[in-house]
Amino acid sequence: MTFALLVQSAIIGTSLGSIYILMALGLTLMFGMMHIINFAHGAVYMLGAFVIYYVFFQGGAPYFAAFVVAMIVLGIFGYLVERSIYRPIRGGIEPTLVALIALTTFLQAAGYPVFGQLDKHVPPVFPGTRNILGVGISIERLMIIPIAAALVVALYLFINRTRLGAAMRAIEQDKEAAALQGVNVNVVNGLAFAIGFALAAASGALMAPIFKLDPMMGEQPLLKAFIIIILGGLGSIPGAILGGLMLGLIDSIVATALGAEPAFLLSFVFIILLLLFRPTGLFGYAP
Amino acid sequence: MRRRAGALGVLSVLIVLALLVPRFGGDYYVHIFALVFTNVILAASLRPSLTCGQLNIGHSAFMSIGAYASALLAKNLAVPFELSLLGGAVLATLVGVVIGYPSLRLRGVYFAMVTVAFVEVIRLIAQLWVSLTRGMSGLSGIPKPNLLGMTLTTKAGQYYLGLALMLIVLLILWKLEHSRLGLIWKSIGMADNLAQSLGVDIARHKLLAFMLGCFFAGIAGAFYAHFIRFLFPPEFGFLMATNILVYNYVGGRGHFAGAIVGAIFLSLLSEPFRGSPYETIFFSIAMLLTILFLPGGLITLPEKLAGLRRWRAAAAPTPSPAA
Amino acid sequence: MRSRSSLVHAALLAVAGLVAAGPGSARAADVIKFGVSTPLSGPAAPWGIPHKQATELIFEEINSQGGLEVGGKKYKLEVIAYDHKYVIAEGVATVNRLIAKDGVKYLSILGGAVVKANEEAVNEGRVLNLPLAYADGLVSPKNPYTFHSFPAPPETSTFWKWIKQNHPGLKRVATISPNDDTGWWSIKVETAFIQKLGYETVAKEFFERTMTDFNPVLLRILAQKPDIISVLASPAGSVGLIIKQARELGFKGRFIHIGQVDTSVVANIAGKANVEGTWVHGFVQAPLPEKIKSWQARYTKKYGEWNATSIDFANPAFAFVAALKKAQSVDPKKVADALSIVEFDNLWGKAHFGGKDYYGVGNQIIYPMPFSEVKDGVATLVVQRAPEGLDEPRKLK
Repeated sequence: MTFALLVQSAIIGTSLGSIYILMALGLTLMFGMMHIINFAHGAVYMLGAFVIYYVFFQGGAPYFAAFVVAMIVLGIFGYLVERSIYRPIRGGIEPTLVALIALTTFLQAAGYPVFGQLDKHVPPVFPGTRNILGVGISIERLMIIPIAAALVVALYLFINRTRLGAAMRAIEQDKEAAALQGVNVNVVNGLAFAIGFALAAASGALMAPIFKLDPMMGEQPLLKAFIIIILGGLGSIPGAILGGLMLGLIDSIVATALGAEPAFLLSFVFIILLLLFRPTGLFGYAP
Repeated sequence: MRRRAGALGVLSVLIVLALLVPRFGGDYYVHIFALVFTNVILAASLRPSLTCGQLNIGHSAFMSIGAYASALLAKNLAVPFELSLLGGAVLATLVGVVIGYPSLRLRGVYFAMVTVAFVEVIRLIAQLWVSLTRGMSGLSGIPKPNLLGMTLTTKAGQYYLGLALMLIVLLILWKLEHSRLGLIWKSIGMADNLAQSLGVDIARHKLLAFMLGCFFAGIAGAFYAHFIRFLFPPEFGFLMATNILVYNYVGGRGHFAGAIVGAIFLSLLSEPFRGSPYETIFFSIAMLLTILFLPGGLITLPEKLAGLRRWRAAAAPTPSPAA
Repeated sequence: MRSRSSLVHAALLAVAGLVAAGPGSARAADVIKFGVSTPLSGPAAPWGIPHKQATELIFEEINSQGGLEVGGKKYKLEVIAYDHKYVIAEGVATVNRLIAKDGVKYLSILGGAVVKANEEAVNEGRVLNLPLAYADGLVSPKNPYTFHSFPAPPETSTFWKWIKQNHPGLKRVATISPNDDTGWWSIKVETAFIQKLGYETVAKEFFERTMTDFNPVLLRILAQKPDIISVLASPAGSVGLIIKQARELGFKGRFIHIGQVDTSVVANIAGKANVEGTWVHGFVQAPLPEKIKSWQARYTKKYGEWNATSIDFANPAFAFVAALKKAQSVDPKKVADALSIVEFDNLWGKAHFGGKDYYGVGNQIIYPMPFSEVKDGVATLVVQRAPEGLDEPRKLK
């Protein structure tokens, strides 16, 4: 592997990493707050992409308007899922998990008759490529970095600077104590679902013009997001950012050097080794 | 005493029914039920771990190891089925110890996330180690199971083997769950700290429960390998892994029968929908409704119904003399 | 009390399962059933759905004209299709159900691994299988009842001869293909063929079917400076992403897909300009043959969404109907004998089963395959011809 190739794959890895981070953010948020593994995250990502397909491409609305619509619509969907699935089976992490698996299966299977069998596409929003150190990177990929950064900052400000954010942090630390302090746990849980789903929708909406659309498109990103939040530490937002960047670089550099499959295997081996020495991930705290 | 007798009665009726399937069911249902037995073993073998509070979403990895090991032993080294079955189960257990040990320090959902990684690692190894497993070409030419040197050529023969394996595994697991060991698992699952203060070596017991699960998953895998006789790495991926977990919760965690009921129910659930293009949609809706309305699983259905009847009777303005 | 009621309930459930799983339904005598085991959900559904629908459409058209006369008796044709989701256990179960429960004697299975897993069931059950699958060793004297009904790499690779004659400047070939039996076998056959022609294969990459970011793999390929990239056996969506991302990384050469792919789906994803010059087998937009124009109209009218894969995936139905007519019998053995000699029309022209010189058995469908180049975004026919060197000169009966 030449040095030029290494640089190129590192650049691609960074852009890949920012995609991963976006995907992992919502997942880690919901995990931190409610100890929920949101298996539906990939399916919501898929729905976010299809909102862009219908509202932006078919409906002709401006891209950013469609982007906001995707976040709002699926945010509301998240809130409804909290109301109709999570709340009725309150207290059960595992039944919630099973319900979310069922929901995911349903959304994917229903996707074929609803969206059609053939892969869909959304035309590029930021066409063209830019040459960076000898490697062509599409502008749409470069745009992910500021958008992902903006979402991270917005999420950070919301959690650390608002009353609702403070309530979320309180619940994350101690549910009973928070409830005694007068925090409405139901409202805050609904909010966490809404934000988690909206973030998944945002990443789907961002990826729609870059990749293709089909009902199963969320599976691979979900798996990547799982790896990231294990790497970074479950529930940790800085961990998700670092984990996402690391995985992006591993995926890119190793795949360029050895091929795609060894890269995939290596990321898992890496996790197992990490867990041997630091079972809570890079930024996690002991449960 | 009466309770015991009733349970035994139901059990014997079930076993007799199961014995009669090949006689009346036809080849197709023999096939489907043999797979149901595999799923029952898998679901039940997850219980010890779940009882300890270890949410394991990686069980299909160990099924995969059992399947590949047994198939390769029989195919390449002509090892008889009795031994290859054990070989597969032992290897699954060993691998389980190696990857399970470090993560056993993690609890609940944390542990669950890590087991997701197991599935992928094992699947990728099966996929990449082409010279051994034939990777994505799939491993074919796996011999049919044999017993005491006699090959079970018919589907019915293999069905009875599956049934026997399932009953043995269930008996062992049931005995264990109702022994002192089972009580310890339960206490660990309810409160780690409490169990520790009572002098229980938690790590050792968690590991033991986990190993048992791996061993029996290996058994299920080995039977599956010699029954389907074609192994394909993605078979043992995420879907299968979550299925095994889902069997337990849809059936109900409160009683040993839950895993069995869940595995049977979900394995047969798609049968009436076969041939419909909406098969998977119906399946997922049925699963969602079950877990929403019976969070305690299907085994709580009779109680729920009884509760409903009582409520109806109480609400009725003029109770009928029969009630 | 609590545990007893749950046990009783377990028993009830099991009994309910047994009752639901009663013996198979009765069969009407004047219906010929044709089984289809194919992925109708999941990532392979874009192939499985047209497989089922094309078969149904052809049968329906025959039924609407009063059915098919075989041995002096009129029969209706019926499709029984099951979703195998590209899961082996489901594939084995559905074929088992078709044979053992539905009493089907003719079927068509889609997907390399699923067909391989059912090889023995098909041979032992003596049922006729008209699969659609790329899989090593599928067409073989071992499988006398299997008639592969889609042009496979040994046939489509022969287009490289045309490329060699007409574009001698291309020398360095890279391949990127799905990481499974389908991809492996395709690349094995294609590279063996082109190396014999004197091409240099500079890179060989395989990807997971779920992959969407091909940048790292492409970086690896482009470092070898290929003139042309073969994306054989990759589905349309993946081909679109490969082309898009390779162009972004600065690749200026050509792409070739000698498995069938809809270049308009590819162009939507990759961008029209990026697909220009791509060569493809089995897909033509101009000039569109009358027969295909009519098929597209009928298909779209019935199902709404057009899927070009249905053109070649109609082969099993065409072959089966032709063989029934020829054999004038519903005995699978006689139908199989008829299949090996019958010549019939599919949507591209005259087809037959052959390929004995290559496979050792004449059970591979052979017909004049179209080969197109994307010009101004339109897949334009450049040559249509039957594969050479696979078959003894044909004596028509």
